[in-house]
Amino acid sequence: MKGDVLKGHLDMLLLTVVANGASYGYAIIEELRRRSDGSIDLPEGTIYPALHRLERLGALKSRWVMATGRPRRDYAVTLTGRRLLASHRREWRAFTDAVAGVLGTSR
Amino acid sequence: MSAGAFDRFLGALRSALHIGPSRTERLAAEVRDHFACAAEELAATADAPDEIEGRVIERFGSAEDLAREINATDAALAALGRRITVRHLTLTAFTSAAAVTILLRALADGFEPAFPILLSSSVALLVLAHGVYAWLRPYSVVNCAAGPGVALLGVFVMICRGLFAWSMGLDYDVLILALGVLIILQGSLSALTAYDHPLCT
Repeated sequence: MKGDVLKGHLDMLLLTVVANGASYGYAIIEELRRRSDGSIDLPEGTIYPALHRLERLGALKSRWVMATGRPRRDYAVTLTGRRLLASHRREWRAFTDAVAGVLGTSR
Repeated sequence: MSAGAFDRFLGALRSALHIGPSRTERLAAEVRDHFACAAEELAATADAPDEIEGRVIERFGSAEDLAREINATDAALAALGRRITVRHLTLTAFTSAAAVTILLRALADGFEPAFPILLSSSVALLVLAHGVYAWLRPYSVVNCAAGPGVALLGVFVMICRGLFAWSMGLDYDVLILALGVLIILQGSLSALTAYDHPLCT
C-alpha cells in the first residue's frame, strides 16, 4: 500500500496500535505490518515525525525506559489521544459507508 | 558488528535537523534503538553485518527525508503556537483590564450594579478565570464549549444592561458596553482557537 494513500490515516493507525500495547517505534511499525498482513509497509522512519507530532499535540505521552541495556522511548495514548482516536474512527466509518454506497457494495 | 553505516546515518540526521539539541539527541537515540531492534531481527537471516546495516537503513528511509519531515512539523506547530499565544495574550489582556476596572470601581465607589447579573463581581471573575484558563491551555477541548458560553454571557450582559437602561430611562454605560464586546470577543476567539486545533474536533 502506497504511503500517499495512508498519509491521511497514519494518526489513526498509530494511535490504534499504541492503544493496543505497541509502545516503541520498532514495535509499532512491526505491529502495523503484522495487523495488515504486510500490506502496510511504509519506510520505517515515516512513523517518527507522526509520533512526535502526536506527542506535541497531547495525543501521546512518552518516557525513557531501559530495554536490553539501551534507552528506549516508550509511548502511551493519553485521554486526549483516545478522544482523537474515537473521532478518527467515526470519520472513517462515515467515509467507508459513503464510498460503499457510491460503489454499490454496501450491505 | 560494525556500526559505521548507522553512525553515518545518525550524523547526517543530526546535521539536517533544526529542532534544538535536546530534541535532536532524543530522535537520534530513538533511531539508534530502532536500528538495533531491526539489526537483531535480521541477524538470524542475513549474512554479513554490513549487509544487515544496509538492509536496515534501506527499510528505514533516508536521513534527509526524516529530517525534512520533522523540521516541517516542528515549524508548523511553532507557527500555530505563536499565532495562538499572540491572540490570547492580546485579547485576554484587554478583557482582563476591563473586568478588573469594573471590580475596582465596585470596590472603590461602593458601586452596586442595579441588576445583579449586569456586572456583578462574579461575572467579572468568571470572565477573568476563563481568560486565564484559555490563555494557559489554548488547546484544551474545554474551550470548544466554554468559549461560546462566555461569548453568550457577553451578549446576555449587554442585552440585560440595555433593557435595564431603556426601562429606567438611563444612559447606556459605555464601560459595560465595552466589556460586553470584549467578553464576546474573548469567548469567540477562545472557541475559534480551540477549533483551529486538530485535537479539538
